[in-house]
Amino acid sequence: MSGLSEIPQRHADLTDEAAAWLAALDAGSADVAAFEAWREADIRHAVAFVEVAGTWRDMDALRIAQGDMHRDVVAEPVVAERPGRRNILRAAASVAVVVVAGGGFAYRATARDMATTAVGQRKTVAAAPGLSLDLNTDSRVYWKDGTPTRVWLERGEIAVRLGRAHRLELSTPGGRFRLEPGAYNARLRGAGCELAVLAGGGMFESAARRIGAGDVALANGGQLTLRDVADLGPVTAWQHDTLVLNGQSLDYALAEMNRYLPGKIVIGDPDLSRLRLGGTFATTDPGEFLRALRTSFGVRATTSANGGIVLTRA
Amino acid sequence: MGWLRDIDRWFLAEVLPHAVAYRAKAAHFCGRDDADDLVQEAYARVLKTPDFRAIVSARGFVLTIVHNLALERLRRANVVRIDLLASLDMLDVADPAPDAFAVAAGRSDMQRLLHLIDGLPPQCARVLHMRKIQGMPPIAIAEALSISVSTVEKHIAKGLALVTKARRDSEAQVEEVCPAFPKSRSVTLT
Repeated sequence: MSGLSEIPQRHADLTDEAAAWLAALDAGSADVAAFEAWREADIRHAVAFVEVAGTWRDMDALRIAQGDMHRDVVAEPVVAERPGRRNILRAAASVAVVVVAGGGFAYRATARDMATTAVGQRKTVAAAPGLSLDLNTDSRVYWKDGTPTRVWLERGEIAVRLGRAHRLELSTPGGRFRLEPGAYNARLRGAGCELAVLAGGGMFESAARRIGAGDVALANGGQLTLRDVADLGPVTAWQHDTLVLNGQSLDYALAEMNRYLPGKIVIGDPDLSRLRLGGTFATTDPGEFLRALRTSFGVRATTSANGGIVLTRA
Repeated sequence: MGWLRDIDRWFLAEVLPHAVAYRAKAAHFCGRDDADDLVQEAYARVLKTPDFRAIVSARGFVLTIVHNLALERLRRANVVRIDLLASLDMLDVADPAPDAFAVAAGRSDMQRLLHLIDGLPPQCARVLHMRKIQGMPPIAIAEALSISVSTVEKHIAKGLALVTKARRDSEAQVEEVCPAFPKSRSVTLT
């Protein structure tokens, strides 16, 4: 049984490798085929990976437990824009110290908290235990922790992820939703709010009908209209900084694209409005979109003096 | 976790929670130094089982494998404790470890997991906390900490590896509370 002293070291190395794969898969940067090949290559790789995945899974359980453990902690929420407030938490109970180390969350009971994004900006906020909010461009949201946690969407669009055992009351100009654990996309449209249920479900105002996964509901003046949407992919595409078009008019495409641009794109030739477009475009850089318009339809883009872009036939 | 196969999910749910018991049994016969290696080898056999769904007791199944592997090793070895080999042959494959401590002794102990994360290098702990406890996506963590996504990935990989190893070590300590044969490997020539 010689050479045994090397074996624990080898295990440690495999654990490192497996953890690197898992982190890459989690971040979406891994070549999945290469990962499968690595796992197939040696059964010890598969063992190391499943063990690391076990730790990863158990940490998920922490997220849910944390929400309950820290319900009594009184302090202010720590959001991305106010990292300095971590210090306030250092005086809190010893369990809270663990949270502080991670730039964690906690809340105070008296005031609402707020997050905003400027045009072209996107932001993720861990608002309360079990609640994460993604703000799309030009948005403003308030929240207050409690049972249930309450969120007010005042401008723009948010993605909501609500953890197990949590409830959320989402107030919009169009009416109020009571949501179960799940994933949602809420977007204000005029005086109304469009809520897409990706996972989970909930109720609207005093309506008897439950909205469930796959539903897209438009709330307006306290009334709810359900819309049939085959694919929710385009609804959430903004979370990857993309705009998905599937035969929509140029008018529509520009309205969507302009949400992200400080210098707006306008149509200089009314005939162009009738163009129908398809494809996936980056919302962070209109150049790609404009090049596609030029090569597919011969549309020319001219930058005006005020920074806007005018589209005309070439 | 879409990257897990069915057998991995089964392994996580049925096999891994009893890691302390396997480890104790392995240490019982092979000594603490080799126990980890033996358990890893048993896991490898388990993960190669094509009809894993038919296994009634994953715990018993893995303990049997550990037992058989220990037997193989001892027979291959040039020097061996005679009393140990005898005991290994005579003992049936019943679990040597009392259930009271063996069942997932701390596998699901969240407080300890939190402490392990807390004990990581500061930036590593911070990133892991944001990712797993606050549920922030890697790109949002990168923005919040003004680091690149690939650095976030490195911190997560490092933290995950360190915590996994620390849990394995703590399993080795739990095993010490189990009354067993003396672990010193007094070797006798056969």
